[in-house]
Amino acid sequence: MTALNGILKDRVLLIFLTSLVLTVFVPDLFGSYWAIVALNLMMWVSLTQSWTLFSGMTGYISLGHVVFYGIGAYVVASTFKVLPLWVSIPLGGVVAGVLALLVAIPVLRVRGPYFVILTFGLAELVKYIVLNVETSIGKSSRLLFGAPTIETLLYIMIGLAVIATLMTKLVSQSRFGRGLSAIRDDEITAETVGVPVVKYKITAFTLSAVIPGMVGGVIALKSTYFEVLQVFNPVISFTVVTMAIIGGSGDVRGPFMGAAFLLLLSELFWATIPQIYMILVGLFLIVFVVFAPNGIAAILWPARSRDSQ
Amino acid sequence: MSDILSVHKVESGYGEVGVLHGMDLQCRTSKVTALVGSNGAGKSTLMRTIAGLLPNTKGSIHFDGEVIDKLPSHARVEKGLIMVPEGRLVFSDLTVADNLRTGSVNVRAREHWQSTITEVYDLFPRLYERQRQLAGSLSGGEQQMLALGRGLMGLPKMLLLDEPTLGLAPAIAKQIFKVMPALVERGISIFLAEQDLYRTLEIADYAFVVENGKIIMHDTGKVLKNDPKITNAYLGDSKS
Repeated sequence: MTALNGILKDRVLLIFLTSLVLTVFVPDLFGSYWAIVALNLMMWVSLTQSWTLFSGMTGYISLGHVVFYGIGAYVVASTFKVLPLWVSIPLGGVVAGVLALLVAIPVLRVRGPYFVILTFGLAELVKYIVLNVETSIGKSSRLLFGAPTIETLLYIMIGLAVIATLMTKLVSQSRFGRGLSAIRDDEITAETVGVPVVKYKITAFTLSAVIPGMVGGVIALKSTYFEVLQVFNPVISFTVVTMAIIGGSGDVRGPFMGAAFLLLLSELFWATIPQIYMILVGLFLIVFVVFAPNGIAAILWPARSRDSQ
Repeated sequence: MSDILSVHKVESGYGEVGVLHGMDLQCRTSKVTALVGSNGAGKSTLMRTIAGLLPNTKGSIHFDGEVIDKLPSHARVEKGLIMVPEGRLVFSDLTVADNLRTGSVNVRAREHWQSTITEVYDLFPRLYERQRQLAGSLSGGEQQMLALGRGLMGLPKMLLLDEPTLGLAPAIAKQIFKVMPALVERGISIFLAEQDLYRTLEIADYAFVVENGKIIMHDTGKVLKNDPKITNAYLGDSKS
């Protein structure tokens, strides 16, 4: 197991994972408000890490990742009290993965802006299909009574953030990950040196959907209700992309930095000056894209970010 | 002597647009076979179809005694059919040495990369000098050498060279052409698509002339070179 050895020797990764795990103490130390903040942070870390696994490595920018999150939420909400949560949450991940696998085959045929638009459109399509199904069976929204406590959900979410980080790290260091980077640098060249591009793209896309599926399920439990337009909200996709860009996706800590930065921003301004908040986010996005395209991680840890690209 | 590659009634194109309309040609083992023709005649399309980057809608492709046209591109690389794409596509953020290593990711070549890379450096001393430099900082000619070297790293039985001298200074183009006989000596078969008619026919054992997605003439390089129909009327000026 050379991959495992590599991880045990990777001090930065171990410290990072440990600090994720240490958030289990947040509820006890700082109370329930900060527990929710920690839960949100872990959610964005999980989503952004997963997004990075596919879009960061291949350069195929998915603007529809919310669809996996939404479908996972739907699985958990519609099987609530029917299936135990330890079945339904993973099932959400599996269903999201299967959905990704099914759409990957047609969607990954297009590149560049067409891919971006197609993923966005696809997420909207699924959103309205689910909405119509729900309406036709007479459910405008579902209340989830008796969901686990915030603490429990936080622990699950920390687990998902750790798994998402490990997955992304393992993939980026493997032959498979190198192949994905080759696709990003030049897909035709990658193909001519013998990278199985189609297989790699489909696998990465599927892998990157599984964690968001489970995250969606946990978040539905957190809000204790399920409302289609909310869990399939495209703003979630945009936020993930923004976090990945601001944080930087060349370093495992990048997605965390991006998520933490935006959350901090929203904690500071969302309640007091909500009109300014989105403007600020937009400004930061522009500033980062222009001046620091590799994100916060590349500014803080320049050498390492380059290594892992 | 046997044919390493044979293309039989192949049709291919992009989406609804057909480019190749029943291509027929054969390449001899350990020889240079050339494909000449004007811009838009279908040279690159044929190269890409043989390499598996484009599917053929009709016809068949045999390589080294096997039908390969249903195989994905990476499986063709494993079999030793390696394309060096047009336009010097190198990974510009990787060093020269790393670029070369990417060429040997296929299972057959992987173990031998160290001995292969020395051979490549022998063929292209310039690459040896620049091995630690980023590929993006190389000149056009050096990038083409790198792309060619990367193709060799995959231990090809046959190299598909798509316009290897496109946009290069004549002196550098000459160097690229000079390497080809050395490759053939090592037993590699070469299928070369080129616009530089004179030099191509000079070096080619056999050549096919393509026009509008069809082979319109074929003969030995020597015969075609002296064919007035080719040199004057069809492909225009060929003084270079």
